[in-house]
Amino acid sequence: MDILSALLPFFVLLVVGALLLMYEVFAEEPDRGWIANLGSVGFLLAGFLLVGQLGDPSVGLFERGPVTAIMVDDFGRAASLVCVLAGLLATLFTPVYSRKAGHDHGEYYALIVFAVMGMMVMVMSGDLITFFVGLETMSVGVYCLTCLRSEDRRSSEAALKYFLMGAFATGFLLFGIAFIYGATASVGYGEIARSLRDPSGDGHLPILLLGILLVLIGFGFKVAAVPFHMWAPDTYEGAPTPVAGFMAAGVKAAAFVSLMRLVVGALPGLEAPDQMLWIPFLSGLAVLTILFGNLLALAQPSIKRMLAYSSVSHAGYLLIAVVAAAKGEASAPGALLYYLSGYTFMTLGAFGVLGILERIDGGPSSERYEAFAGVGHRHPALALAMALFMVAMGGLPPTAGFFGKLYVFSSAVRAGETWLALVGVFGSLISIVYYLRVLVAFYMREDSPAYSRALSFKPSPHAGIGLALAALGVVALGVWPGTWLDVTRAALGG
Amino acid sequence: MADSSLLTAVVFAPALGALLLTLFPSRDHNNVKATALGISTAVFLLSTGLWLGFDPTQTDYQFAVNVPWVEPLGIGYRIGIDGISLVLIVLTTFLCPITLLGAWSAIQHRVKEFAICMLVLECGMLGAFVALDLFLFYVFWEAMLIPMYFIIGIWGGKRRVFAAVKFFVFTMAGSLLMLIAILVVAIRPEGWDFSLMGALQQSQPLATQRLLFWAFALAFAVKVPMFPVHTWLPDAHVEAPTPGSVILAGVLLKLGVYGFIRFAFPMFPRAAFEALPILGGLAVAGIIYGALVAWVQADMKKLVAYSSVSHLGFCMLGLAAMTTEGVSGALFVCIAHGVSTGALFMLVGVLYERRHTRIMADYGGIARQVPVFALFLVMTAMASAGLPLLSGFPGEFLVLLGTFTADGPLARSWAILGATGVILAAVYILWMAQKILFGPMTNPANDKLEDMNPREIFSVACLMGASFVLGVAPNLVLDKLRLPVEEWVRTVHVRSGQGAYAPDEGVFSKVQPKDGAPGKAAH
Repeated sequence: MDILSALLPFFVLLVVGALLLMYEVFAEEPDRGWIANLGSVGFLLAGFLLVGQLGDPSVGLFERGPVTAIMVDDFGRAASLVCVLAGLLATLFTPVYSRKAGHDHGEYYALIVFAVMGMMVMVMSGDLITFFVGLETMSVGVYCLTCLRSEDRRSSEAALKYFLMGAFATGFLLFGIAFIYGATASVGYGEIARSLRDPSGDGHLPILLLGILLVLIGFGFKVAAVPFHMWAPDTYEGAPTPVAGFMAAGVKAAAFVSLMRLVVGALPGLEAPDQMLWIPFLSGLAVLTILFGNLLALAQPSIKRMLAYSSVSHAGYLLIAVVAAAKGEASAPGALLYYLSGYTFMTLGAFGVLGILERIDGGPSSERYEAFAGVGHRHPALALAMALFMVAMGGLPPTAGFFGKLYVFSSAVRAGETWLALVGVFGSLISIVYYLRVLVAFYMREDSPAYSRALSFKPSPHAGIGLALAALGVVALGVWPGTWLDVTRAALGG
Repeated sequence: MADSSLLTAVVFAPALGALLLTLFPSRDHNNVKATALGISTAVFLLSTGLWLGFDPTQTDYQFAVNVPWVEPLGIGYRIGIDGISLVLIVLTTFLCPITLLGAWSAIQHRVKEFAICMLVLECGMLGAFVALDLFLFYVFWEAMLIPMYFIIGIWGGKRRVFAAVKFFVFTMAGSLLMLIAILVVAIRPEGWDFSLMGALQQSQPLATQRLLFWAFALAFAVKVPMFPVHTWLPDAHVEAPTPGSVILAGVLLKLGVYGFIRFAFPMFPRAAFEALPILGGLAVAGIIYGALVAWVQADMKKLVAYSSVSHLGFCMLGLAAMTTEGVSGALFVCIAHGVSTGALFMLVGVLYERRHTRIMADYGGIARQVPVFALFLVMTAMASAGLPLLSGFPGEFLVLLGTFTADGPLARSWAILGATGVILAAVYILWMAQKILFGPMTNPANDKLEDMNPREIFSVACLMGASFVLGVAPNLVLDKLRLPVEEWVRTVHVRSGQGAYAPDEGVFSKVQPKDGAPGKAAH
């Protein structure tokens, strides 16, 4: 497999992103439907290319000595697919949400496309610098997307918060990378692992460990792990709803996959376990994230904020897989990827439903639970989809959410970290309560008086396709896990 | 093989029916009801095929299917039944159409959604009874929760949301621990294997077994429900609509007992044997506590709900005896309770639909006004109280006998304490019948009370007929149970290291004929 075909998915996205920008600038009267179509087609094309390449031998691109900048392997391809999927779903849910408010611009879609490109670089990165470049490409795109809901002041607040916190996290990351480079004279994961295994007594180990800790803290911000999660709820609440879904799923997926690459590639199992400081650190992060994410989600009065905190708690379950991988459990990367795949479908689906409901004439007047009373009766299809996503997020069979949790928890059990699985289970139990509250609001309350007039809602084809795709994905990954499971298992030597 | 696909057909036919119902226009109430009834009747007829094709002389699982599902993780679509699952399956398929028929007028809004929930629920229950794969079992076990949650939460009474969430969270709390235990069992150094057969060949150290057993036991104990984790049951029953209560009491609770028999005991026999005194003690506590609390209820539905706690205590007492009689008796109580309590809930529902109150004091002396209802209520009450010739008697008798003859220092005292539960049952249930039916008619609101209509009569009569058949010829069921239960008790004894179980050969065979015609003993 030559370099060109390995990079083809990147090129496709690049071209589509550029076309989107051009179209917006040069078209006399841009046809909005067309823009969304173009974005979706770009994602579909990139996705098909990636699927076609699954199973091909791994290629390392831009090798400089022992350092490979971009690893085009199955783990990266599968993770890229998840990111592309997140981009596709966010694109599909955007027209119905944004058109009325008039922020349905070409650059909106172009930003999603470029952010996904950044994610793909992240998930395939083989060294810290490439990872960082991908991260910034993604982040800049998402910062801008966050503030596009210009009709609401919360959007600017969200973007500013996200930007400041993101910059803060970047500081940690860069500091960490600098320390690591200082200690090992390399930014390649393989080299870092070699220095860790063989510190050769030159006294650099403390600096190296400090660097690793700082990098992990940077990741903590990006994946919104407690106690680095403070930006997440406000940002999700203020961002355009499909973008919130995109952040909760896509950004998280990219960050977690690159974290997994770092952990598997650069943080080997050591002879002296007391030096593996990152394991207690990551475990503590996981426990805090699961407990506080769930408890805080429980306390939220609005569905959107609940979803924000719930996405924090999901970061906790994913951290369990990272801990298992750090302990050398071979099934953990696959488990992480599987969880993320299902999680992308259900999170974007849930935010998508929310976005559609926000735009229905005479729909829920706010994002609070009470405002959704009677939705189950008025919009049976939307409500059913939401019910499915909630059930999946709660981890109930037969959905992707259940199988993902099962897989992650079993990797923890296999790694000898059964207690983490128990914490995860306890968190899931709490989460059931607030996911059920959504169903209660949709189905079990009397119709809200806000629904005084008859509702008419014609689903836009984009949103319809998006919802169908998300629902199908949630069910398929729960009932027929086989094929995708093979892909994720094979991915990182699992 | 036609044989093996029959079981799959029985399990998934309700789900297919639910899919079919989604195509119906939702305003077309009568057609939806009729179709749902037709589907569940068809499932019942299919399941009679299982009953007829079942060979009671074999100890192997029958109609077995073993197809890989998620091969890399050792998950398979492994199903099969023995006599124990068979009788519970037939109970389920028998109760479902009757429930739907009885619910014809109880459910007035969102009929289509209700029918779909009921059919999905039936699929989940049947699946849990046939699964021989821990993963598959867990999937069905959890999948049942969602339709039941909706049934309580949408069609329930005033505090329906509270009751539905409490039901869900209690059950989920137990089952999540079970999930981790399943993972610990299924993940072995040599690979993954979720099959029950594989799990049975494992032998964990006692300390691990203890933890795993209690993780499973908690999930099942919540479902049974055993004292003291029973508190969700009265809430759920009181708020659930009549058909929900019937299925909840009739089948869902039995899944807890079934779980102990199929999974918890055989997989962790040593820990199970250690736990027998605790389980037995809790069972007796449940019997007496449930009965006493039922006695003081003013609300009929609460009374029946607490009587369920008491009856299910008998099931657990029979299990804790670990004798063939005890276990067969426990299973028989399961069946009998499903039939008689189902009928009781339907009769309460009949009154509630007419008068919209379940408080006993609002009635009184209505026997003259509604003679047919009175007749059925008295018969059902007697069945529930365990009168000979009706379904309640053989099971409780066997349980007490099994407990009395069991090893262990406390066995006899438990049997004696348990027997007081039978007396108390007669007290509270007849007390209820008396308060509702007899005495002077004090409440003028009852003057125009209408008697049961033919549809109601038919559905309750089916249940009472079954109760009568079970009471007169318990061997119909016990024959299917004898071999698997003997085998089960023997295996659990052997695997627990308690030495071979040598029942007094005569006991079971001596009891059998006597028990086959309890009428003779009574007259």
